[in-house]
Amino acid sequence: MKRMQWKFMVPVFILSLILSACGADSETKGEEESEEGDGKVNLQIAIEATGDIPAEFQKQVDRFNEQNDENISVKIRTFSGGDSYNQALMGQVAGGVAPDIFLLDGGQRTKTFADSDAILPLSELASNHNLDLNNFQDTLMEAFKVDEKLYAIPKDYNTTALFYHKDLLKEAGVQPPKTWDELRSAAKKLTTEDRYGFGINPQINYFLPFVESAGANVITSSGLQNDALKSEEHQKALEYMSTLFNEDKTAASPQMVGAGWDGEMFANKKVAMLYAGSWVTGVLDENSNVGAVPLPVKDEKASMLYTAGWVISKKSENPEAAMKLIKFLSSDEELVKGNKAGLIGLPPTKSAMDKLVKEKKNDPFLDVYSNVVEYGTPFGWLNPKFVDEYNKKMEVLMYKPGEITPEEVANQLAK
Amino acid sequence: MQNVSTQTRATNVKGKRKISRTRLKEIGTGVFFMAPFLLIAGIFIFYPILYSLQISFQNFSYLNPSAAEWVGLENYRKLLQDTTFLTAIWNTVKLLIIVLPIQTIISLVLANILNSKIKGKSFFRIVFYLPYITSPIAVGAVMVYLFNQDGLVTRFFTLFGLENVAWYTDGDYAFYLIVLIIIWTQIGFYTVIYLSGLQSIPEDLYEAARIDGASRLQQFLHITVPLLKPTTFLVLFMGGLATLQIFEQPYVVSTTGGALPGSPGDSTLTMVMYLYTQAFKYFEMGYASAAAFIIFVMIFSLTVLQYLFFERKNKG
Repeated sequence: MKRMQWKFMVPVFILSLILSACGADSETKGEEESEEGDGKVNLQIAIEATGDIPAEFQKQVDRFNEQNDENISVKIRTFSGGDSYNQALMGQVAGGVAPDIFLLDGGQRTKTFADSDAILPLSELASNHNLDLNNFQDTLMEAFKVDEKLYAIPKDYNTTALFYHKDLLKEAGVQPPKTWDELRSAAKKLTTEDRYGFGINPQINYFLPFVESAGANVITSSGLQNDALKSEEHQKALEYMSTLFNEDKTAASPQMVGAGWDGEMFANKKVAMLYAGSWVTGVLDENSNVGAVPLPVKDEKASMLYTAGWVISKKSENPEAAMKLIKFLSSDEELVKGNKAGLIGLPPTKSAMDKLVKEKKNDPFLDVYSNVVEYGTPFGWLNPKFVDEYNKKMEVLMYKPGEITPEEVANQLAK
Repeated sequence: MQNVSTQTRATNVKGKRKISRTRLKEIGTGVFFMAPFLLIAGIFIFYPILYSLQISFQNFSYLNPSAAEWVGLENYRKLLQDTTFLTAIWNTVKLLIIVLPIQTIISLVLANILNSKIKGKSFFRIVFYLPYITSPIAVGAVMVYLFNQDGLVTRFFTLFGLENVAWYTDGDYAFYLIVLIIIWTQIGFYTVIYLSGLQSIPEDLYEAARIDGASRLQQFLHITVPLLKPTTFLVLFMGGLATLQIFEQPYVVSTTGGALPGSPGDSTLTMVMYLYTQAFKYFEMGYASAAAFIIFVMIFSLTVLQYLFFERKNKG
């Protein structure tokens, strides 16, 4: 038997030789291609997009090509979003075929890539190209620093705010709430048979600002804070939300009203007020009369920042050209244009935000956003596993309050 | 394999190690024809499985595979203490215990109805088979719609005293929604298997029974069921494997509205979903590989058990 198996191996071995030879062949071809046309620099930039390259992004890249006298040819690669973006990207980085520039979420994701030595620190490159790093919002930059080194240039951000239907508040004679007590009584007044007063997706993704407002800084740039997790302040925040859901019955989640996501339940007026990400305004139609205020405060102001940044692969052969493209994408003009075209969220630089506020004078939200960004916490600091653990516990607390107390939630999470 | 065993025998008989030219040629041809399979299976199945086994003893980083450290049985130790993983196993076993008998009985009954002389037989055959070939993602999406609060089916069930809640968000209902979906998708397939089993029962047995005055129920219980035994084992065997590996339907249903896989709580978390989350959400490849091997051992031993049982029954 044993002898025979070797005979099987012979053709297998030969075939694998042939195959690997083919592989080597195509590799060398690839290299030749990138070097052809002397002086021409090839850049690959990866973005999250489902299907075709977004037309607006293509336009941006075209504008870059027009402005640059040097021979940089940019190739856009798209990966579909969410978890599959991370999967695809990690595979490419591990395989050594990562694009020169790609997007990473701030916080843990950037840290993972930086720790694995897959991306370049950017401060020096940026100053070589006169990209003013002080112009970016400080809170955003924090999300991309690992051991004090900057690894990404923020592309845009989204934040959280309390959105409300103006007509519904007027009907009930309620002012937009500024404190937790006001929020609770407003939610009571606004709850009718057809709708709940207040809506939130009961996940740490939107709930963390409440926790911070109560005075528990459970997450900082150096990671989870066990003391803050166990603290009374944290428990108070959990208790407050549980009261709205279970005792007052004035708060609802998307699941409770059969909506696919929080924006949907707000647009359908299943809730009068909603604490959610700034992207929810995208689903409102033009007639809707919606306002926004920062999170009602208990002790401290708080908001959440969701941000992604451009990073340069360590394997990139043209980091200089890559930084040139990033600088172009971070210019006031492109950021404002990108936001207006719906390509990006809010501009990450102070100067571009000022310009956008001036240009979109009738946008009722920008003012709030440009305020809350100053004290926001990057969501990306939380590790995905902790986020899921937290959300599971919170789900039980909101939907089956008899099974767990805020104190137990706090202690179990702290471990 | 044929080649090898004949050859070994031949060498033994002759007591010589020399192989004749023609034999060699034959072996060469055999190997040549098998090479494509061996090559593909080797690269895409056996090598990854072995690599995964290696990773399960490591602290493995997806981004930097060369920096993996050996941690011995640490991953396995952690897993067996992980209450979420144990919940996932328990959920899957619970699914198996509930789904298997129900789906087998329903498909047996359906097959018998389809085998009788009723009108529109082929129409119903198609109707029952359709869910099986429909994409699980589409099935999940439609089910969520039907079992929503105020959904069509939810309202129907309120007539029987059930609450009007979105089934997939309720800790008590979500699990049974998964049970319903699995049964609904699978029965079409097993009905077809039973149908083919029914064809093999000779008609004269029924004829004889009828002459002796057996009722239809008696015919069913004393002729159909015993003679379908091999088919029943096949159905149980395949149904068991499919249920243990169930992933898509509970994944789609539980993640509706951006909820976590397995929500609410962990009530719909299955073994494979747990494995998927660890591997492709948290990128804990070593841990996930260890989970994969525990699942593999479970499924494999169950398969062996079922196979032995099946073999014995067949002989006896």
